[in-house]
Amino acid sequence: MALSLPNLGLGIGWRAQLAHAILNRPDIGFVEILAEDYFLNEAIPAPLQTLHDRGVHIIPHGVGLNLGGAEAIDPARLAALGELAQRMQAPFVSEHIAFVRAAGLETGHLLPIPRTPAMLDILVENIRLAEAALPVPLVLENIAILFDWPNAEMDEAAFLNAICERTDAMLLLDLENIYANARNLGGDPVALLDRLPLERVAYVHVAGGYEANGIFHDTHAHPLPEDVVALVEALYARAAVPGVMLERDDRFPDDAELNTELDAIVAAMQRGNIERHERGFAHPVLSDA
Amino acid sequence: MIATSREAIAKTQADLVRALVHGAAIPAGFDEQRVRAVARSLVNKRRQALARIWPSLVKRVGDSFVAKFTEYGQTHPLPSSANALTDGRAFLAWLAAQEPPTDGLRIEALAYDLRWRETPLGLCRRGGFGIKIARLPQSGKWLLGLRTPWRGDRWWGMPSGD
Repeated sequence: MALSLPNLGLGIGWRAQLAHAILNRPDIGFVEILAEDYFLNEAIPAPLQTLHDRGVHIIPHGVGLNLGGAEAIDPARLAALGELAQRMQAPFVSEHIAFVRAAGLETGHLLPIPRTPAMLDILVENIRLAEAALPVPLVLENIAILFDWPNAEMDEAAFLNAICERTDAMLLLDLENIYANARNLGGDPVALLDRLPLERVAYVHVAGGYEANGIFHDTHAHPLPEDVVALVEALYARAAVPGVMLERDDRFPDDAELNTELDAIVAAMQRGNIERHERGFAHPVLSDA
Repeated sequence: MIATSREAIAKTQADLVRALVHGAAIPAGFDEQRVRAVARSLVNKRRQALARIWPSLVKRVGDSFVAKFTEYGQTHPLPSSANALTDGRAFLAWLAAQEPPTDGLRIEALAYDLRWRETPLGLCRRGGFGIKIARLPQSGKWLLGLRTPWRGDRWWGMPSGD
């Protein structure tokens, strides 16, 4: 089942340090905000209000819901996420397929969960609980991992397909995480795209990282790798997903450098759209971004 | 059935978190080198987040910031609000327990305490009226901080340069 989603186009993770560049790009269709930063602050910051008034969608993106945790979901966090979605008039909210805390210990990090039938049952139960409590659809993101659980019985594509079959959740496809996982744990990112339910993708993340000691770190603080831009093109050649956004969280570039990356993303979306039309792919065309 | 597997997975998740946060034994079967790499990156990530959100604290701690924060981070997990500012405030408290704080570090702590309130959902900016009076440890000067709904936070007696 595919929910009707707005055409988002180009997006970016909202950061105050990037406000000038974001406000000066009329083609920005959506921004993502770190949900937990806004749970308790009543006022919407003025630049975000300006974007909202222009019709830019504001998507609350949570990191603390712990959907992949085997412990019970905290109803207070769920309620806060729902209230924020209403305050921002968001079309949906997003969270991660991950766990972040256990036994009262916070890690501040998105950690992998075991891809087993037992974990899938728990995750599906958590997602359904969240979906029932939230006033808007829930969109789930694949994470970057440096290690896997030893007892994994499914690969990532099989696990994501199973989640989509058993819940109404949409996907936030993080192409940089797919790229990083392929580099760190093996696998072919394009072959993975071919096995994913792309009609369930609500939007896409791209970002940069760097390699140290044989490990590619997903930092959101380094330039966007060309291989990740190529994955945007490969994705759009397969399906017209509603939007792609850049995440940049540190070592902020100047406006010109940021705009070059955003332009590269838009160009990749356009090239992919052309390829898709030329090849006449069977995937449903939701929109022409 | 789900309840049983929830318990089993919850236990391994807890063991994994203890390995990452407290340096406890890594659960069987996990790639030890990679889990340790993540454990190291967690403290670095907290330090970088703090430096981004609270640069004046970093400046006042000075050259030893990285070494001191790493020592603190390895022995103290992220506060439950998972917020970098709260982490910074806990770091200041840890520093003050190690050695007498400088005036600058005391000022940072007071400014935080006047402005922020910790809740289970994270940090909340304090509203209404608030007051902080303290004697600075080095100069012995008195500092007064006052929060009002219409003017926000104001300080009197702040040493020059602050």
